[in-house]
Amino acid sequence: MPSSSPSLPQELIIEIMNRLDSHSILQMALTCRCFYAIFQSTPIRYVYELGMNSLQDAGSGMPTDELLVLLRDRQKAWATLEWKSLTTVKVPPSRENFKRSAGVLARLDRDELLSSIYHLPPNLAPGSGRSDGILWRVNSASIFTAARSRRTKSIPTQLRPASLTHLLSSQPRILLVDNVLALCVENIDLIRLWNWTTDLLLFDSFNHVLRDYQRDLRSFEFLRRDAFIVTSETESGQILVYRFSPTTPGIPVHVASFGLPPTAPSFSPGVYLRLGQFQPRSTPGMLFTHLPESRVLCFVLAYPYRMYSLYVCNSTFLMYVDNSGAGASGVQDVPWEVWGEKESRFMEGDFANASCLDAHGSRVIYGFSDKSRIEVLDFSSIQPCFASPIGRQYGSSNPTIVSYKEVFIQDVVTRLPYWVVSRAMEEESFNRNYMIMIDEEHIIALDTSDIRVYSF
Amino acid sequence: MVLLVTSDNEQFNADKDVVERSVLIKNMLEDVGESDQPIPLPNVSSSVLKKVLEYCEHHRGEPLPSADADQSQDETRKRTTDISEWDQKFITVDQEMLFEIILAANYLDIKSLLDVGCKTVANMIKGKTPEEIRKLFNIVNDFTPEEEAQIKKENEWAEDR
Repeated sequence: MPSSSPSLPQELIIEIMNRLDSHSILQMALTCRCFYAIFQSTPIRYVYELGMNSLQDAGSGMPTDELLVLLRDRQKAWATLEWKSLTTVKVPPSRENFKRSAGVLARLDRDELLSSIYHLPPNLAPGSGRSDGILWRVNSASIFTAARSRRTKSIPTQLRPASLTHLLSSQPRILLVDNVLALCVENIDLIRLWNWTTDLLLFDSFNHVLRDYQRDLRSFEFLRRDAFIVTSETESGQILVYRFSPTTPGIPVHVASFGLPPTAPSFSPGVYLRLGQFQPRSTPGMLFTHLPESRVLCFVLAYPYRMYSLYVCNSTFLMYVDNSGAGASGVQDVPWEVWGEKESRFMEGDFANASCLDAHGSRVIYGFSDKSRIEVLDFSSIQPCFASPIGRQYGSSNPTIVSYKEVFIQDVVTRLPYWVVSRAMEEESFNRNYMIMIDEEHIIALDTSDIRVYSF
Repeated sequence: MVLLVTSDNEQFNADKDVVERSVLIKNMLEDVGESDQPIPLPNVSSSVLKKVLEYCEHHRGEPLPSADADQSQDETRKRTTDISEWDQKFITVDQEMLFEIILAANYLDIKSLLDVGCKTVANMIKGKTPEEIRKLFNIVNDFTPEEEAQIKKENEWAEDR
């Protein structure tokens, strides 16, 4: 006798749905009434909507029904850019701008890379400008950190004085993923990776070159604690994916090269990565944090006379990292035709007006100084956008087409779904010299004398 | 040694630290105290118990997940669909046996085995259409055409991923 009820009881169907991604949960729900009813129950709706919004539970332990309400409420706030509160923190005036480094805000000093350090929200309490959290410093000999416990730990940079002067004058960056620390210089004269817990120098590009044309390499960014990317200007521009061991020293393995839109022979782009610091762990107090694999990476491509932005999800690159770990060998060549159209958005950038840019999780924020306006692009589900009067959606059937002009050999068509909202900022001071950043729950505007935090 | 009796009246002898991977059996043993009484398992057949004991034997001595395990850790465990090589081989069985193992793991309260079973089913579902999932579970589509159209419309936006 055919039966519409499956041979597993409801409680076990819930266990199975709990282990599925959102897309598969929906496919399962569409099979029969019984599964659809389970899909409509609060625990599964919560798992499903978290996934659709590229988020995960941060382990607050709150009841699921309350979390679901808060999640929907917050997504609506983002879709309409209606923040719930605004906090201003006064900081001592300085001519120097803030810089985001290893998950904190830092101000540059002359002889040290980082001097004044401020925590990001929600640890940024009003009035307490200076943080007592983790401090980072790079000076003539070491990278320091002082934890809340006041214990200071340092890693010797082991640089010759000449190299150090060069390093400090060429805008070095410190990046941190769990216990892996990277120090690198923007045009990649130098990449060093340490394991912070064991003090091991995992890789030093002075001793072993990453590849023959190392000087051609540009932006460095972690994908995960065991993988990173660098950009290259070879051919029409490439994004190179590397895998490394976070515990054992060794030369990182080049697993894949992603091609960019093919250009006419005389045009070669400068490829830079511009985005916020990768924060693999949730900030204490957050209810939801982004899924590392759905984090969006924002590249800026500079061709002669023209600039474009390119958005790609972390999962596009991580797939090749995981495959290479599972036995695939050699460098995978991934030409633009194979991945670009479906897995990215390639747009003409309004860089003349956009004064700043930051990305976190599935969101990218632009600040437009002349118009005193912000714009948020979201590459997670387009559902919240439906309820928003100011949201514009771009599904896969609504591609971005960049005409080939003289630069490309043909039109560049891309379809990665996203939606966008923008809002004018009333604050009079907003259009001065500022920087803007974003995380799961905040937009952070940095001025020379204050930090404004818009909480969602 | 502990004596277990299955639904089809077959008897199994196993070491105490092996069968105690089942929280149900562990609690039963604590309740009866020192005794040679056989433990009846009316919901588990001999062919399934044989598989379950094979699993418990392989994983003997491994720490059991504590009852008050950190919830966030629990969440992480659920999300990752990685299954160890031995478990992968162990769970490569026909679908009926897979469901039987899941039911037994649930009844006997063996969390790690339940997890391996559910992950395996989840991996079978991934990437399949509703029609393919119906075949997998032997499900009859009981939506009316109107309901189906309505549900598809409501969830249209989610399909564009």
